[in-house]
Amino acid sequence: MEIDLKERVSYTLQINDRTYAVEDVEPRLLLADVLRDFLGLTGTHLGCEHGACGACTVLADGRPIRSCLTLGVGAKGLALQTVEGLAPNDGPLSRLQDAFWEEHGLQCGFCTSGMLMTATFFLREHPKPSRKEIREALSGNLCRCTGYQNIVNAIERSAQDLGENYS
Amino acid sequence: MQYVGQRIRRQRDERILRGQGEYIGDIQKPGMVHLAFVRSPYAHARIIDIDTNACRRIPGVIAVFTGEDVTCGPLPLLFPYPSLEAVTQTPLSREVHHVGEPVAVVVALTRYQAEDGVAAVQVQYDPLAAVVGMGQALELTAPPVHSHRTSNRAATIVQCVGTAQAVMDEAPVVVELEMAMGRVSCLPMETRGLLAQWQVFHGQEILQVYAATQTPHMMQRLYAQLFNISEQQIRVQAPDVGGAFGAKEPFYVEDFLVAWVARQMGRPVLWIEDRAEHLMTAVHERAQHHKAAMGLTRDGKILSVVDQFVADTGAYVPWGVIVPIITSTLIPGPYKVPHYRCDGTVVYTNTTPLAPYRGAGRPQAALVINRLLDKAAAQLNLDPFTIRRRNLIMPEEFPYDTGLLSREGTPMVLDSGNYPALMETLEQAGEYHGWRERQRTTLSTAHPIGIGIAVGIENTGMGPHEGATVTIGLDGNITVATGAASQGQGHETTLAQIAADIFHVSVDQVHIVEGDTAAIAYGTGTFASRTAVVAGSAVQLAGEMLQQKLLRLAGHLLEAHPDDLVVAGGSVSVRGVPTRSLTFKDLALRASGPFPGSTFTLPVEPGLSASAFFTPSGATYAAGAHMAVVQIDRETGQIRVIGYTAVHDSGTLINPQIVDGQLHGGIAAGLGTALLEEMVFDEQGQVVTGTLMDYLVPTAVDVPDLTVCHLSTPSPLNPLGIKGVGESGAIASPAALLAAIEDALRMTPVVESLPVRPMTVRHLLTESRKGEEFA
Repeated sequence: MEIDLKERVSYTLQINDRTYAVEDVEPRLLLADVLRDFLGLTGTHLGCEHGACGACTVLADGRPIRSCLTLGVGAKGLALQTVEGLAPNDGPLSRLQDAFWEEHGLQCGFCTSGMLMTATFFLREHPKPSRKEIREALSGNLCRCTGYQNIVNAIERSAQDLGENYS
Repeated sequence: MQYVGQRIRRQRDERILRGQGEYIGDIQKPGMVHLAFVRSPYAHARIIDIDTNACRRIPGVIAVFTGEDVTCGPLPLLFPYPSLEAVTQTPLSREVHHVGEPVAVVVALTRYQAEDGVAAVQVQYDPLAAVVGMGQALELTAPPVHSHRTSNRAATIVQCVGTAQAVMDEAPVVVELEMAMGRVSCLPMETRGLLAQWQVFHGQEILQVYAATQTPHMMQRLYAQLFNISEQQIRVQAPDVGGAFGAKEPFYVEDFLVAWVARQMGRPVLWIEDRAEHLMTAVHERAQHHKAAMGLTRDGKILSVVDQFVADTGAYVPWGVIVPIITSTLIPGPYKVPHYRCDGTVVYTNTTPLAPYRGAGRPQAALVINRLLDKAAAQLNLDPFTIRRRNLIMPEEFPYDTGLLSREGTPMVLDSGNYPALMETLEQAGEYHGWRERQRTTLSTAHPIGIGIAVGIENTGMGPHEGATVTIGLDGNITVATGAASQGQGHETTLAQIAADIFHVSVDQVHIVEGDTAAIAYGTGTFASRTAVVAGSAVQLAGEMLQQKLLRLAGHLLEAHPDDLVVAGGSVSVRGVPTRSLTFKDLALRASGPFPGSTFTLPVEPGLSASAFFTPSGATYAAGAHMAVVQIDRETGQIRVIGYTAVHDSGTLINPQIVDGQLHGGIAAGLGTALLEEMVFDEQGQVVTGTLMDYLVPTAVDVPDLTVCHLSTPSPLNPLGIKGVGESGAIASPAALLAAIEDALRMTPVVESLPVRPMTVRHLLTESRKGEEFA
């Protein structure tokens, strides 16, 4: 099948409670590339571009998706959240982000955004997780620096803080 | 408060956590175009023709370059060695020597279009016979890996202390070992990437490069040589780098080509490697095949070790043959080996080149010696702790002359350590006897537990040098420029802790500048667990020099003797007279000089700045003792790591939290090497494990909770007593894990290759049952 490489599309995306216009782009653009190269949201990283490493994880309608396996045009109508939406620019970090900082849950930081998005979703579903559950929840996000220990610690700490605040 | 020794959180993290990091793929420049490589699908072939016409018609494609356009010879050799017959890679060579080698370059307006262009380039190859596997490379009938050479041998390495074979022949107890270690990929989560642009300033060409690299100054030097321009015309900057582990240490043909293309195009050119390219072309490591023997007394004292090994270097030698050299010198490790002989042969194959990956030859060395000791322990019915204790170098024997020669031909002397204390702590912190107790009830079940231990040492903090320029700015804050480069190790915090202690300021008032050749004229880079030691010492030396200068200046202005001055809270004051005081701000302003045209009368050179280099006299030796506990499922062969303890001596710890993190990561890497990771090539040299679905790295489920303990024997070789740690966790871990697996299965001898996967266990269990039937 011949593909017309000159075809262009325009659409809008809902990201971090804002509306972004994506104008006059190739329809084949992946969501990750739209976010990074066209909208300047470079906090979402690409580690493998085949859905295996989880670095590009963003939330769509609250659920984690691989932005490297999703077409930008296919994300129309979804409420997207990226790492940039976890804390206001001039405000404090989210509890989870702060726990990552305290527990040394990041080294090079390349996988961190994906970890944060996966954990944000996970903690909503499992407010009091065991370490085993945390590890299972992270099994689709690769990290080569930390050996995961301090990431697990950070998520556990964040959950504990959450529990204390509710009690 | 003293910062060195404190767990403080890292300075760069908030930016990263907000998604505001700046990695190479995040940088955009006006007019920037994208580059993609056409790569060889053959492991060995001659290029007959490249047809770029269809590619040039692809929308967005603006240029295509082939080997006919580039006139660059082979890349300079990075680590010469007397016996090495070096073949380095030639950019866009007409003969390709491994799958993935670049044969043409496409430049387009977007990355998508560049990749469309790559798909449209038609290359006609004349395939040649490929050599895959070390065994094949050395066969007399093997085809040549490089057509211009007759032999596939790259180098031979010999280490010799005493008369090893003669002593072995007379030894009352001899154990033998064969061990093949699989090839792994460094695999940082961020792939390689480079952005290059050429500009003209005052009539002179300036090359500016942003690179995900461990070695910006080395890149600068190599660009100067390759383009025949002064290093003063080149600025290399490493932005935030998303991990490296060795993959971003050598200088690759891609590094040259991106800069070369940018010069042709007259506009900024960006290349971001994709994961498939990374697995095919970024350096691999580990692949070695050892045959070793150990001779002992009947009470388990080592008399002699003889090792013969073959090491694969792939198609080229991107960092000389440093990996097998390191292996050959570190097999004795923390143990007293009175007679030692090692013969290594390094071979070329038509596969991805090999160069240091976290650990760099040391995990192989630790495997050989620790596995030999385990075999001897089994034969002599000794506990693995006991046999090790009988052979460790004792604390009073330091500095310990191994009798070996280091990589530069100088005597290899271990500077300091306390190995028995490491073992002692490991036995307790790892709850060795508790696990042994628990193991007893599992051995005859379907899920036996096994316990393995290993001790390894690491030569860290190698030269040649690293420098630091420490400056007190007009805002009263301190800036430290060093030649190191960070890929996530946290230097911006650890080096700041060192400087903050010298000037008694808050760590937040210290800013570290690294990874930028414009910040400091000369530098070496971050690899070989060297930055804390070498750059850290340079910061200490330069900081002390600046402190002296500060005191001389303040003494002059306050009319006090420098000995009577106190530095605290960003001020210098006369002891006991707090009102006679000058702030760092005041002093920096005074030191910058009075009004233009006036006379400089101060007794110090202008500027509150000082520079120093640290040139280590030799390596400082870190050490680690590891204990792994695994549980095997006899039915499925699954190996679960259920306990892991590591005790490390990294000398003085600057920031224990960061050291813990380095060890966690290193242990996970060692777990990958031992249990999961292997780059597999088929007989034609095709990469079989070309995606992260095939190449398995440890996930959060594979790595257990790790217990990490520290002992500190400060190094006498540097001002703060620091030893390196970046690679340490990866060294003893494969040996400990293998020992644990064998212990669970209670079979000796068994495991002869890495990685050990469920199918390996299944195979071993089947073989052992067969053996029982025959017995």
